[in-house]
Amino acid sequence: MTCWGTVKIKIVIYEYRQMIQVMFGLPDITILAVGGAFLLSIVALALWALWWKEVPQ
Amino acid sequence: MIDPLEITLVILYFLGLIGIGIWASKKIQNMSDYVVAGRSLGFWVFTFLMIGSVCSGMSLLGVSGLGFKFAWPTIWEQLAVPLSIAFCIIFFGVKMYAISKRSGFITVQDYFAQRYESQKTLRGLSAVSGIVVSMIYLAGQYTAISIVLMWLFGLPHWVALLVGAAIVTVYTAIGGLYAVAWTTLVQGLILLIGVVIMAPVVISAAGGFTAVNAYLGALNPASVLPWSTGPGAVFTPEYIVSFFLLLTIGLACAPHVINNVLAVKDANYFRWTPLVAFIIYGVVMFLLKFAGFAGVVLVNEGLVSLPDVKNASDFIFVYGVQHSFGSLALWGIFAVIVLAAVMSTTDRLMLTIGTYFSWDIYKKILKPDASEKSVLAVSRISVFAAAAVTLMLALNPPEMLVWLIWAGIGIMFATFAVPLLAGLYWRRATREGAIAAMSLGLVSSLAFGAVTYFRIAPLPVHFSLYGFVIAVVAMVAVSVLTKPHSEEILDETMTGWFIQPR
Repeated sequence: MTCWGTVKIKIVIYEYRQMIQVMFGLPDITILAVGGAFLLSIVALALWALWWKEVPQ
Repeated sequence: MIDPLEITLVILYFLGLIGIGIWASKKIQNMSDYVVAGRSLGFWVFTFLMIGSVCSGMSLLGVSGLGFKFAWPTIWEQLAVPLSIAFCIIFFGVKMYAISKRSGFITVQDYFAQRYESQKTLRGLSAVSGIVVSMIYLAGQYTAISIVLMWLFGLPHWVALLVGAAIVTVYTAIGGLYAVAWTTLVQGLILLIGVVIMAPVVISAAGGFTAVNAYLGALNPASVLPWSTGPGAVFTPEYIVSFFLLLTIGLACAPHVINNVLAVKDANYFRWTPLVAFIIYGVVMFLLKFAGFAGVVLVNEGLVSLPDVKNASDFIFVYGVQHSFGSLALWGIFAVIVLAAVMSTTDRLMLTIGTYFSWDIYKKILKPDASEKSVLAVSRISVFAAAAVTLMLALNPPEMLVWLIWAGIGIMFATFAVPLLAGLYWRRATREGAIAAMSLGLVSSLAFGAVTYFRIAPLPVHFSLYGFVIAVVAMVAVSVLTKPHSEEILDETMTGWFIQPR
């Protein structure tokens, strides 16, 4: 990737970080840790439901 | 001055609960109906029963109070508590339901008695431990009911306790799990709708979510971090790990929660209930915590004054709502919402105590030839006795409601998690190992709880984790030194490293 491409990606990431920080008024670490754990929990429980084998009545 | 609309709503709500109790009492023919509602609970009744059982006084009052006091480092509670429902269903419920259908058992003690071949010792120890921890937990719930009634009607603490206890005791004693489950469905819906409407209004009154976080960050930058560090910090990363285990596993194996999994109509409900309950309860928990954060702004800016009581932070949500809804009688509805959240756990705990005494101690140990009718009568009397004893405990509440409730969960965690997990998944776990794990878990968690409560020495993690570790060591050490159970018993009780029996 060109140096220019790397710079653009960094700018995009920076802008998104700024937007999230402004949106929630929170540091990155809080958003990443709490948001990440929440999403991970949802995915894990959805996988459980997909893994489930129907029990005959 | 008490608003007539408020008092009418609360009275109507109480009458509705008693009406459900009377309706439910007509469905009760035997102990199975009373304890597991004849295994007839549908998907939504079961899902809300699970939510209602873990959604306690802590959820509305304690959660906001903790957020108000310690801000973002306490946010993990919002994930751990909803996840406890999933943990309970996935790691305990799936197997225990299958075994209970085959063997016809109706309490966790029945499972212990069968798996560990201990009809009296382990059953009795487990039932007594269950009653002790449920009573500690119940004292916290009564304190929460009292907070609401004191705030709403200006009643003295003891009168508020008595009124709350009388209502819950009556419908629980007469209607058993049918009444508890159906009242919880109603209470859960009231809670969900109420919190979804009211919490954003409180947050908005404090300037909105972003402004509240900015305010917290300006006041103390550490308060918007996901954990705290440095001298005197409470919610350090290691404490949060113990806190997460305590809430997720401790609540999952709590007697009043785990018994619910035996009452479903269809095992296939276990497929989606974990996700559905997590989302519904997660939304409620996050909103309540954010309302607690908003309380910091409201109090610091002089918009809300908390009462001069030792557990003042527990009042933040009720005072926040009162402020945000001004003189509108609408906030009277809020009282019903808070009562709904608190009562949904209280009734389940009382039923658990009644069942453990009447079924596991009276019928299975003291008087095996007792008739169903007399066991039912003993169960109902036990519910009243539990209410009376717990009221005494609740008369002098600790500084923070949440501390008392966590203490109850912590003791459940240290006492029940190891015998249950080992019993279901480890074929080498023995009766002697289970007795050692359960008794040492209970005693050591009570001892470490006293160390924390009386501030004898600071502990880096929640006190229950010590009890849990001691229980694990006791289970492993004693089990490998004692004779294993027969393969026949282990197969009958579906013991092994799998979750869903094939």
